[in-house]
Amino acid sequence: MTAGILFFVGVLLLAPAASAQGLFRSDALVLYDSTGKTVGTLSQPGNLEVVFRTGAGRTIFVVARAASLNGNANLYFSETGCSGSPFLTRADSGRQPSSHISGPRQTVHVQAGEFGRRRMQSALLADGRCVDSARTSDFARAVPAGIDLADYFTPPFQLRATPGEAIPTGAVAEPLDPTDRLVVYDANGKKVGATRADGVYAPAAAVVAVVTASGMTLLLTVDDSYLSGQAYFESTDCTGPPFIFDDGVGDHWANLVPVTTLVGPRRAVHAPSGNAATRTMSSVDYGSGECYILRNRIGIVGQTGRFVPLEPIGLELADYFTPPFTVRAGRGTRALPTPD
Amino acid sequence: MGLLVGAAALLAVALLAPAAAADTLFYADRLTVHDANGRMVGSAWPASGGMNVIIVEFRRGSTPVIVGVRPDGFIRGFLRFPNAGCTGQPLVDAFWGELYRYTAVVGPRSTVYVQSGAVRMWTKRSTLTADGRCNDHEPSRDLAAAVTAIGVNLADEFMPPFTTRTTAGAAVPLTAP
Repeated sequence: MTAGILFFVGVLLLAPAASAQGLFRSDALVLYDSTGKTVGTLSQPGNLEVVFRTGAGRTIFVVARAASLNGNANLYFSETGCSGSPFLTRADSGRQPSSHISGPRQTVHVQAGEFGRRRMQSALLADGRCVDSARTSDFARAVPAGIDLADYFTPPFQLRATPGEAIPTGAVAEPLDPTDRLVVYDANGKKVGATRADGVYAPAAAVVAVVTASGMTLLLTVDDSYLSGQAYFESTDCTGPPFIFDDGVGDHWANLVPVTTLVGPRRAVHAPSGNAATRTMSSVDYGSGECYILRNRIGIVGQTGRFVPLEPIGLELADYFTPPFTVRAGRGTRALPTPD
Repeated sequence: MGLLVGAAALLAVALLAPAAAADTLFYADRLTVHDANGRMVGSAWPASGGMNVIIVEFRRGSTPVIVGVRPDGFIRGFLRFPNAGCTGQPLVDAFWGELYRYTAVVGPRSTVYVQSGAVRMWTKRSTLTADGRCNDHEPSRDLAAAVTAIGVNLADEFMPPFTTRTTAGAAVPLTAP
């Protein structure tokens, strides 16, 4: 009886102040196919690149989307009608080798030569259609990699963070572990989680993957002074029911993770709770503590667009993390060379 | 008998061979950047960066030093100075909050600078460009952070061109037919 009361009191003391569900750090952000097979490990900001190696020793960079795996470059041919020799453009990401994935079998072409100025006559699109399109640019010879990704993976694809250790609530200082790379810390010296530097985000923001007790993957965008996430309101003071802009839903991490955003000073995690509809919003909160009034092009309060209503999922990140945030490097990150 | 053996062989090939693939696919378990001499610059795993840049993370103590790498060398930034002629305290623009301590890779030897003072308003009167030229200009007052060279010149350590390498991990299983 006494033990039971003590257990109950312990649960009450350990339970988050307002969060009905727990939160876990993530050891890895992994892309899975529809059968649950691992496609690959992704970096943890917005770079959705998966890397493979073939038996012949070729490296293939693949860009993930919810419905398909894509190459990082475009495939052209020296003659019209996608005949003649195949060539690849430079990848937008700058990665070499360039790659292209096309057709229902997700057939892979990969770069097999150096880039040089050439004129092409046609292009093979990702959906397998051929279009005659004359273009002079830098191209490198391409070869079929002998890989059809449809032999390996079945769309759609989904990103899931692998749950690791439970994140305690409150102010708990935690040291860097020996294998840590880059870690986001809060004001109390508590780990928010691992991050990866990215040319687009650093040094302004970091993305950290965490997992809820219900298994939902959240990608937190961490600014130095707040957890970022925008919520729109029909009121002019960021009160009342919150909404998310529909375009933000459509392109939320390329549809690879569930749509969520953070609302209010307690950074309550919210998810869509209905369909998009045309509404007029008068204020927006990005999480910085400021409420911004929205105006249309002629200065009248209110912006009309497609917005989706939100509902809380029972998790308030203010129970866990206190701004401001900083990034520290652990010993898993390579030390700079020592000067002679 | 011969017909049976032939049919069995065909069946075995059909069952064992990938449906349409002449090569096999492996998960990559490392992505590293190497210099012209084969020396590893660092890990770029999982792939990060974009737009012609691959990101390699270093550290100085527990300070992250994030370096952008292109095939032809390190991405270099610029320094500001409070005095003309690129004299006085070296500074970097500090418009991006303070999540990361500010660092810079500057000049022909890709010299590494690390933040050594708080972000505050500074008056800037000259700029040392990425390739090491000094330009004097009208004073401008903006947020900046003092930085100090830490004695590391990346161009002395690593010689371009830089290339990426992967190593193969486990084989990717084929989809069940």
